[in-house]
Amino acid sequence: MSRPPSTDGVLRPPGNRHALRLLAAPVLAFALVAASFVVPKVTADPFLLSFVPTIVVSLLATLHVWLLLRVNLLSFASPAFMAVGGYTLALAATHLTTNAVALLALCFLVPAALALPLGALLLRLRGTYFALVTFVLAQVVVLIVVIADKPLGGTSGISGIPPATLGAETLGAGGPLLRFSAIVGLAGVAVAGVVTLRWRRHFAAIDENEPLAASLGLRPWAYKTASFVTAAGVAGLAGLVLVNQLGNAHPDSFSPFSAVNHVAAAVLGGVSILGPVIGAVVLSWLVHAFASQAEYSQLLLGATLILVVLYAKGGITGTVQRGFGLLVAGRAGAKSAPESTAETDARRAENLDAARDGDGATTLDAPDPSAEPILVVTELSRRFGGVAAVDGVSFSLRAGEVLGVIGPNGAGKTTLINMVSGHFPPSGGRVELDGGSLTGAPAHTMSRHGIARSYQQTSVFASVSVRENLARAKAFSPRWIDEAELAELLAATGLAGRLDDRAGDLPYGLQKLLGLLLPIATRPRVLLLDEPAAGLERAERVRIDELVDWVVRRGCAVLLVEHDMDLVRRICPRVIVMDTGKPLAEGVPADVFTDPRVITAYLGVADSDELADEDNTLAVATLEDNHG
Amino acid sequence: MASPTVERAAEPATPTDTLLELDRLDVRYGGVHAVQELSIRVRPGETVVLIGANGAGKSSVINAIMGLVPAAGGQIRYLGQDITRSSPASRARAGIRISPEGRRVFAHLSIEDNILSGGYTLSKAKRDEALAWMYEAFPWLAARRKAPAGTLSGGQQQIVAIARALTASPKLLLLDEPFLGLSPVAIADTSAAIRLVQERGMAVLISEQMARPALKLADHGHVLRTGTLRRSGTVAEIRDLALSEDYL
Amino acid sequence: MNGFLQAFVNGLTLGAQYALMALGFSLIFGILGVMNFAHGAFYALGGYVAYLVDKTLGLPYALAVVAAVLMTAALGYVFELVVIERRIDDHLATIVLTLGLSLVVGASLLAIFGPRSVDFPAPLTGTLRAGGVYIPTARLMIIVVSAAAIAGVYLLLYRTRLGNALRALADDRTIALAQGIRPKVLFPLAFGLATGLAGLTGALVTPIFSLAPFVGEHVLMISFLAVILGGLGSLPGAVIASILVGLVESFVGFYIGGSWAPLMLFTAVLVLLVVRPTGLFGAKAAHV
Repeated sequence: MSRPPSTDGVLRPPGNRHALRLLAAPVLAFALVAASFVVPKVTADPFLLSFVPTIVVSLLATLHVWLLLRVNLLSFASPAFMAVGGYTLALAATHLTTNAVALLALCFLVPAALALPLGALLLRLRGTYFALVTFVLAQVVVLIVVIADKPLGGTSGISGIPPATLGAETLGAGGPLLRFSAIVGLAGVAVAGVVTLRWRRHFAAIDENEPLAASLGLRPWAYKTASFVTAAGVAGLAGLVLVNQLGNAHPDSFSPFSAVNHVAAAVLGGVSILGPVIGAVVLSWLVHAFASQAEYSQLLLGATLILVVLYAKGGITGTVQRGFGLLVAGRAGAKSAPESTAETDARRAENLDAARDGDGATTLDAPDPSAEPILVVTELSRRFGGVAAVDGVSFSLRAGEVLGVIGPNGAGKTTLINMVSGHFPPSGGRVELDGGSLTGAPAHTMSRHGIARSYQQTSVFASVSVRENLARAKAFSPRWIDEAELAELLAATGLAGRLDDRAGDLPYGLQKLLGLLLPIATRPRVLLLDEPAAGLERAERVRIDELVDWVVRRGCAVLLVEHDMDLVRRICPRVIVMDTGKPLAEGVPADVFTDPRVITAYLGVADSDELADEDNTLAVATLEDNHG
Repeated sequence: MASPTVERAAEPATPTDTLLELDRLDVRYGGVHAVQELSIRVRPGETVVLIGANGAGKSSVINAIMGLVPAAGGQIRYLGQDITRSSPASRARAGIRISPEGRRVFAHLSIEDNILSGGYTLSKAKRDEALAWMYEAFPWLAARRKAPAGTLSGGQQQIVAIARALTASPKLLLLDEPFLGLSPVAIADTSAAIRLVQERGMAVLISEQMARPALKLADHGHVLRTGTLRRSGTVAEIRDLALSEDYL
Repeated sequence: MNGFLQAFVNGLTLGAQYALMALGFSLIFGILGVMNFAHGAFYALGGYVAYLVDKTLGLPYALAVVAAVLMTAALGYVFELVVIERRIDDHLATIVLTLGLSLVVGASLLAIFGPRSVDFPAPLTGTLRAGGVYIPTARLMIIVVSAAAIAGVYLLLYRTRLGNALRALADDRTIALAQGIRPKVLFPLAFGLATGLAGLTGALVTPIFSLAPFVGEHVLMISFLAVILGGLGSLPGAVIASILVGLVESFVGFYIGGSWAPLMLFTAVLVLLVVRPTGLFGAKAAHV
């Protein structure tokens, strides 16, 4: 029984567990706050009175690190934005207002607003460099505070800050302080939760495979900025709670090295939004339990950090989730037995036979030569160091046209695709789509204008299901195709029955085909295929013919870089040959393949000073025997 | 005359006439079956060339012999020993050296330091001796011995890469696409360097797309396509075939 | 004029100290690709080991310095071998691992020696008088020993087989492996060498500045600056930038005063990191 691909709801996940899990933390936090109102004992306990604000500060600072870890950035800037928030509170409460709501808004918005221009600069860095720059930033902020005697009090700080008020109630001590701190903490968790839930696909995709996400239309800078700005605001709230509790703002409260604790708590807690909560509680408890001997809490923390990185990369929540996952998988083991693939195999073989019998039947007619080209590439060049990887390549593509690009190793074919797809800018030349220049535009701009690409190596979001891969691509691309077409594509790639399989668990061929399907489903006007057949079994290669035929019928132009010359022969009416970055020949495959210059590019010359003419004639003769 | 090496591949190797033997070698990476059940052998002092188009699996074979990619199946025997699981460093110490695809000279190290790095496992005397030979064979290396290798042209880098591989006087020299991206003049220079190696009696295994200049240097040839052996034979036999058919 | 020379000598002392730290830090980053956040902890550890040997055991100061170098080098060697090696290719993981080590070392020192700075008087107390300028002998010693250590590292890297292999590893790990160079043997050595340099700095410098469990944090911070200014992983860059940083700190501190020197330096570094991550001295980032 073949399962007909459903024409609606392909993208609807089977359950909504993810959203539920993300909502769990705010709900839990809310329950705790509610409890603090309901149970008078809680608010009277002197230990909790001081401990809860401490946990909240730690939680919010940890959330800062956690938010940026979601987009694969390690930030040590929590003390910097805490200081901005804390001093905002100090100045506002002293000179402006003590209204709790106004202070809450200010202490979130001021650091967030500051993070906007900072992010534009800093987020160009990644990995080690980003971590370093945030560390330096934290230091700079403290130094500025120390120097700014006038408004910020220099080394002595600002003291005598009036506590926040709400109506008649003062939120500076006792139960009101506890409740206020908890509500601010809840607000921080809620903001972080909403941002990471709303853009969970974007964040996860940046974390897992940023180039792929960008080539599907996601603007990485936008979501990194969103994360950075939110993280800055949340850290600002930590500063608010801290300063409001202490009643003074002092540079020592924002030591750059305190970021180490926040990083530790975030790593300890792990990926779930419950992670920062758990991490912060554990950390605060450690600090409290060894209050008189801080060295032992540090020792434990350092050792735990090392052990977590070595043995439990997902942190506490990740380990629990994995353990739970194993448990569930163990119970559901019988159910998830793989379905028989005999049928699809049979169909594939049939397809292959059809392709063989047809003998060129799939070769597409050349499009109307009088039509205006969609894509015009002029004199495109790229130098790496002193070497010209691509040197003066020009071509144009009309709607529905398929142009092959072949050439020996190192000819610059992938570099050509990388420039047209916006992966890096050209050193010279132009890329124009419909007459408008897109030269040097980034990958996401190219994708949003309808220039899509596939990758030589498989490039999918391997950690999630095929369905989630599609959902992500749909979320990133403004050009997504409709459900009926998607169902056709899923059938054509043989992925229709594998929607709930983890992409990374699929056989290589299906992963590669999924990597082709994703860009095609962004309804491109120009599709750049980088060796789509490489590594596919012979039976699977026929699917490439089908896919190219499918896009061409919809007026998409295709640029095909490929080494499988049979495939090139089948689907490319015209090919360009490149050699050492330069265009060498152009024409119909039959002519190009017998061009002595092309054969020499592949086979070389026997000696630099003698061009072995007899070799060429012989080769050409045999080639014509076989294919002519 | 079909390929005799393939038929005999399954027999146990005799160290006297076989230096390297691949026995049904399989290489996979990223799910791609790059090399499938490949059986070839190299005798001492012999030059063997693997030819084929891009994606034929040539580099995977070379890297598997050096140990830079793991073998997924089959055996690699060197001097009668099974080395399929040993590390690249121990293979290097046993006398297998490589000039990798793209040359990959140590760009920030000087020419002299590049050559010396190949002799990490040798005594000071041996290293100096190798250096002296290299400078004698390629005087321009001596003239520019302090120049960072990254500043050289592609052809010069290829000579440095070969020199680095020769420092330890290997028994088996692996050359992965030595002519890639080189001008005809640089190909001739590189060919001359390879002939010097042959004169020293070392065995050479070359993977190359440019079949014509490579075959000029070789005793035996194997043609690969999509990871499998298409044909094998002496250079004369390979030359009689229409090579472009295997590419285009 | 007198003040100028005084500031110059002080700047040179600071620069020499930073150079030793930055050299080791850069060595680790250049060869292993690891950002060692525990480098400051090794500095403090070196100081305490020297203090223990010199003051508590009553052995000669020179011996104390040697002991400090050996201890810190050994700890670095073992930590790389047992811990770092297992996550060597994950940049964020190695940052967190070295942070963890820095906490462990700092906390251990705190547990053993207490939070207050210990009394570790400089072993050389005299001053050298030259042309109206008084140069404390202890500072001169720091400059001389640092210069000698830097020269030693240079000779090791550029004149020995081991150095050749280390630089090859920094350039291309895979191809170095194909030369018979084993990263698993040499990485711990490189790490130990670098942490030994940090220990040496601590043993030399803490007597004239101060010795408390977290003194390393400040020095680590300054080393960051120097390393970024000089270009991450570039050894000559790190040394030159360190001396510049030392001189700037001293002169700005002398003529302008207070926190302006660090603020200017840090801001300069912040701008440089964003505008030109390869540092002031060219494009040799991430290589020795």
